[in-house]
Amino acid sequence: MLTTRRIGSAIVATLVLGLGLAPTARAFTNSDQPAAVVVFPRIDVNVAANRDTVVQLTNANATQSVTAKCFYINGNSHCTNTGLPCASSAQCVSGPFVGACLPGWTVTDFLVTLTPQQPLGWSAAEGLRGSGFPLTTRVCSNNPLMACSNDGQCPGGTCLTNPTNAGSLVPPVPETPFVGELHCVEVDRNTGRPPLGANNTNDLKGEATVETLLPDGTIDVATANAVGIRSNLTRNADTNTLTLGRGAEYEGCEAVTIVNHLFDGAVDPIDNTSLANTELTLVPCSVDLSGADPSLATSTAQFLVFNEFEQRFSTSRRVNCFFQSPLSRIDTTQPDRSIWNASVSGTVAGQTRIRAVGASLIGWARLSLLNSSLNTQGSAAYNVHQDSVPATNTILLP
Amino acid sequence: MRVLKRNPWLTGLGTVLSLLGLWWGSARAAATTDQPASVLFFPKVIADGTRDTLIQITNTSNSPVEAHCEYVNATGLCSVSGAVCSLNSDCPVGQTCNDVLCQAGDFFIGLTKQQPTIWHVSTGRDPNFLLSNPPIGACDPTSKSCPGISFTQIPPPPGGAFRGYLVCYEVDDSDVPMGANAIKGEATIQTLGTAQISEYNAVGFRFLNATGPADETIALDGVEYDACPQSQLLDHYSERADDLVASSAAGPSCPGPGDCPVRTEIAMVPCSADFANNTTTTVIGQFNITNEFETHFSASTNVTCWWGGRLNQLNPTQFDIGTLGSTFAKSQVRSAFGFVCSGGDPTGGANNGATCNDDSTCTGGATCEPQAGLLSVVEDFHTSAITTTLGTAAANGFFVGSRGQCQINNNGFTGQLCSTDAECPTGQRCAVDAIGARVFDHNSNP
Repeated sequence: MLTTRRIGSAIVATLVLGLGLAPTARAFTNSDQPAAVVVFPRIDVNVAANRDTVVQLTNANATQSVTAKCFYINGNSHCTNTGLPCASSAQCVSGPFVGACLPGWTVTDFLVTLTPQQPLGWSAAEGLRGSGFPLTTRVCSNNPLMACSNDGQCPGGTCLTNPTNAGSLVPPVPETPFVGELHCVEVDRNTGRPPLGANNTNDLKGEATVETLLPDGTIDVATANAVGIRSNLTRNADTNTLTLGRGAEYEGCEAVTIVNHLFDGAVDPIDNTSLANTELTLVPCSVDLSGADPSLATSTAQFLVFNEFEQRFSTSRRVNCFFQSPLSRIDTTQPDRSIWNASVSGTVAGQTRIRAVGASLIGWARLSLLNSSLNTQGSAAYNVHQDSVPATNTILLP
Repeated sequence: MRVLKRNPWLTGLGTVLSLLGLWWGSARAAATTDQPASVLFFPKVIADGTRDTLIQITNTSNSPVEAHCEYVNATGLCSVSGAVCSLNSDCPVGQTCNDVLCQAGDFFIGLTKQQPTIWHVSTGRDPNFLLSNPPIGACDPTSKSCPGISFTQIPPPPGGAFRGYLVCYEVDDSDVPMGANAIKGEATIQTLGTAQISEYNAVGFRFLNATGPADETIALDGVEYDACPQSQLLDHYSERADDLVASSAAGPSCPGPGDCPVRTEIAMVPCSADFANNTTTTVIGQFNITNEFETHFSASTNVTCWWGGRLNQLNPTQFDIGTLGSTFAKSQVRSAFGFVCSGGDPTGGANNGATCNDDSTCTGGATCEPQAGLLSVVEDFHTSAITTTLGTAAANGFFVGSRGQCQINNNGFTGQLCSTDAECPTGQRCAVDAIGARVFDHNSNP
């Protein structure tokens, strides 16, 4: 027989469970709200190929400056014999010697201070330093381009005491070609660690635009938003270890990522001529940004692919720190035989669900169209969707 | 005097409920661009003869879903030339853009479990049973059919040349809105004659209240469905600022300063729409622009069902590099805080859209309410003064806050959560949005 006490317990338990499972305001990483950590999964620079990435980072806080500690992670592999970036050992031939092409994942860090509401942009190939920053000194209220140190230097105005970008430095990416990711973490400028508790606000937002100057003069541009990881504010501890997940310091990264795409080789339904190709970028949500423990950023991506006939295909792939590949080269070296090839799937559009085993995965996708008859090409990047429940992950700062 | 003995478990239950209530009410769920939802807004859809759009919608669940979709066409014709326009500034000097009717056209789609689907806006998509020998990995340009399960016809949008938006919401078998939070979407806009494309994610509103009434009003109030954001943050180049990469390369397409300017278009849609009564919503969109020197500028424009154009059409100076002085800028866009009359019957003398302080100022059954929220996307056009070629890229905005809060006339949100005016203090109104769904007309869409 249930006693009154037990009935009460059951009601409370039911309510807690029921409401706990009800949809909350936000539980995942997101690409549409300012956050305390922003991840740009794809930074792509190749000076010889006229390709660069413009990074935009903005402070959404209306009253406070924000300092971001940022980390480029070099996703290039390098030849053991020449030290040059490579994609495979076939590129490591030096005379009679063939080297191995091994991944490295080196980290380059820097600090950026953003004044209230300030947008900032830079070329990843060139970085930003010195006078390249907009606010390196105090300026006149009636002429923001005029530096000053006192009111007397601003006829008709005053010398503002607003915060500046002083002390900021964005280095260029460490080598070209460069492909990798960028993480920026909101920190206390004095300690270099995430601010304690409610001082850790969700103020950063960003976009990355990969631009390629094509031989015909076309500027191919592909923009996607940075993926944000929001702080849970009061739960935040002032340590170098950022814990992500339900009820943790930061919101969790999703267990399942969903990518909508055209199948590789599908014919563009608009012009009925161009052929589609989609490139997928995945980076683990867990990462040691000191570079000491690459094993933290490892995962296995399990892919489920659906075509428009509701047919399902599957494959899996190991992800170590940084993964980028055309869809039809994920499961095979022969793209024509891939489950992402339109001639295999049969339909134009597809859905790929990616479940991470190990560290959760953050993704970007880039659709490219190649029109052989017009000899033109173009691309567009987009943020992928997420599903399932937030998983537990860790970000380690140096 | 009779004394009620206090039951410690009921007291505990009350405490838990209060705490849960505080937790539950501590934040309104906001719209999303990266999670499956029940209502999808595609704020920018173009099929005007120079550009066209590919829509992708996917069912992410293991159950079939049905969705009712509405195109809203916000094009008109220039007064003399007759050219397609959506703003006066789209027309030659001295002409106006007339007959922007905000014409809506609806259709229905069904998706099997986990099914993705696409269609090309200007042609729509025919059911695939019309294909006797379907092509593999391509759509048939003649029959407008594509390989895949497709039993319904997706028509071309209404009104010929199309500039406007698309909204799709999940419905049950009776065409009544329901929420399974199963659909997601993307739009790819292509410049015809080129391979230049821009892509953005649809803005989704998740169904929150599984016990809510099934009716034809989709309440974007943070209780039944996600609320519209209070404002959006958009990063963009200052108008006419040089492309950072092209200008530094100093290649043939950009030999000197000012030769490779970037221009930004914005598309804005009110969060509220009434398809059942075919009434249009007008909102004043307000911009707070910040340059890299932390200097602020402002601009505003009326948005009647849809606004799409370049930033310098919205205001010729405030977004311009000559004013801003920096390459990049951030714009925060929101609807004005003033109240307007809304919801009245236009044929009954309602003064919908007129500013007001209370219901007594409104006529024809209209009530005095906060302006509707706004959704937007931006698209950059990287141009070259030398080669005239260009590249395009679209991006979703970032959401700040959510509506579903009490609002003071001309003064903004109070922070008090609400879903109806009755939950707000006297003189305040609850800023929520709604979509008035119309029951699908089976006769028009076999």
